[in-house]
Amino acid sequence: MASSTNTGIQRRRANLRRAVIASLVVACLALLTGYFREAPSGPLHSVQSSTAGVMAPVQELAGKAVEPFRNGWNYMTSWRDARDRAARLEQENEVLRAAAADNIIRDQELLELRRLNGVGDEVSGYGKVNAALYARSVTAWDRMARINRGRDDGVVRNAPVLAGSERGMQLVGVVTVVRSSSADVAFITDGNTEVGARVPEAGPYPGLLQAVTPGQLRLTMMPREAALADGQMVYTSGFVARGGALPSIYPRGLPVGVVTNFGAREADAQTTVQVTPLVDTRELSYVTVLIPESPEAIRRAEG
Amino acid sequence: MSAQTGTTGGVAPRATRVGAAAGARGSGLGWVAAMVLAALMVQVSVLPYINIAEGIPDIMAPTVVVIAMLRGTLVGAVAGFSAGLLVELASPVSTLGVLALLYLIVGAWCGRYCEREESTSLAAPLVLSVAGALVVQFGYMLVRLMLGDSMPPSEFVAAVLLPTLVLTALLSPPVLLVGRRLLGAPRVVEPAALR
Repeated sequence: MASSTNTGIQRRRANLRRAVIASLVVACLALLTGYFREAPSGPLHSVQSSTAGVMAPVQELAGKAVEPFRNGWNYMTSWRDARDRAARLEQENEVLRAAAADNIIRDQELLELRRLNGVGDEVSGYGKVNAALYARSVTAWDRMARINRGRDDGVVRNAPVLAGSERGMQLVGVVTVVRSSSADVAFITDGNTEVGARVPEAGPYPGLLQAVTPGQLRLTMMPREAALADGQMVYTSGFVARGGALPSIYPRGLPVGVVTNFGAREADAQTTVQVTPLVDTRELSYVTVLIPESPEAIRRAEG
Repeated sequence: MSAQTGTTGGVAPRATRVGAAAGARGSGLGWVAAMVLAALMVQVSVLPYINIAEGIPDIMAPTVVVIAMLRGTLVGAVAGFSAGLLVELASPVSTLGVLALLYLIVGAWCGRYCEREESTSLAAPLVLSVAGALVVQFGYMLVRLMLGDSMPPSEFVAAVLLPTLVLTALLSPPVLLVGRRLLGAPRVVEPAALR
């Protein structure tokens, strides 16, 4: 009798375990399916966004608490690159000093021409808000982060995000989700982000910059006759390359990266260009968000 | 992890420890929740900044493993589900439900080991922690591939998987030891009506 009671209890325990695990699996599949089927403004996205807002103060506090250790880790890992970086920067300095003299003259001419033709600097149609990153994605597949500025600070969806590099401010991403006091940023190295770009030194050819694998960029639609060379700067073109007529959410002229490799097979009419961003987004702590202010900038952000 | 000796001089069978320990100590579910929350804060606030190549250490895997090994399949599965879901809610990722499912599988599987004799060394839990992290990484990769993302296999293995597993293996021992200290000896926790 006792043994049959024990067997019954064990069977009930096993059934309960199976029932609980099965219902949790069904819940996971329902969440997964619902999340991808719904629009970005759907209920599950809203819950995710609200939870992010609730946890933001705790995450910011935790981030500040571990910042010294994080800086120490970055300092130690930067040692291995320091010597190579120093040699590379010395070489670049020499080239840049020579180009700087030419640029002064060209800038003066450009300013005069713009005044004459009424063409403005596109980036001047934006305000700037500095923001700190307090959370970033835990997977290598999502190149995303959270910043501590939101709607209350003027941040809007599709606002370009810049960061400092050895060559000045560089485009690193775009705002994708906005909450009242925080926002999500998708870096340009995220697989879902596309940027219309060009290489001015290679000719007037618009291309499309995409992350083929998380962390690496590829510039496509460049014709073979483009005079490409390693080390050339890549900038936003202000247009979406496909069709060439649609304005991009990114204004023209924002540095994105440098050409590090390019090539094409014999039968290809176009060259594929590998682009390395100047900023390693894994080490970023602060960014600048461009807030659309001019009518043109607001139109770009509306997509 | 240390072995517990019974009156026969060897390790006491699990079935007796379920009943015997219930009165001596609470189920420790409060500590389970605290461990999951602490691991969550470390995972989303600290660990994304500690990386080798593209690998980020996974502290959730050893946390779920130690909970499951010390409290059974049911608690392990629920802890895994909760941990994965909280990570997806707290961290900027473009999925919901995927990590919850993967950690649920890890917790449910490792809970089976709660019903066996406890290991006297860290080797078995450490191997399970790394295996859990491997399951999560592979599972997430499969889902992202189905969603249209791509990554060359060589890059996934060399830049993501191997660094993640190495870092997870380095972080697992303190997590396992802290978990053992907080939760005590292994015992299967079931609803009161089934005791």
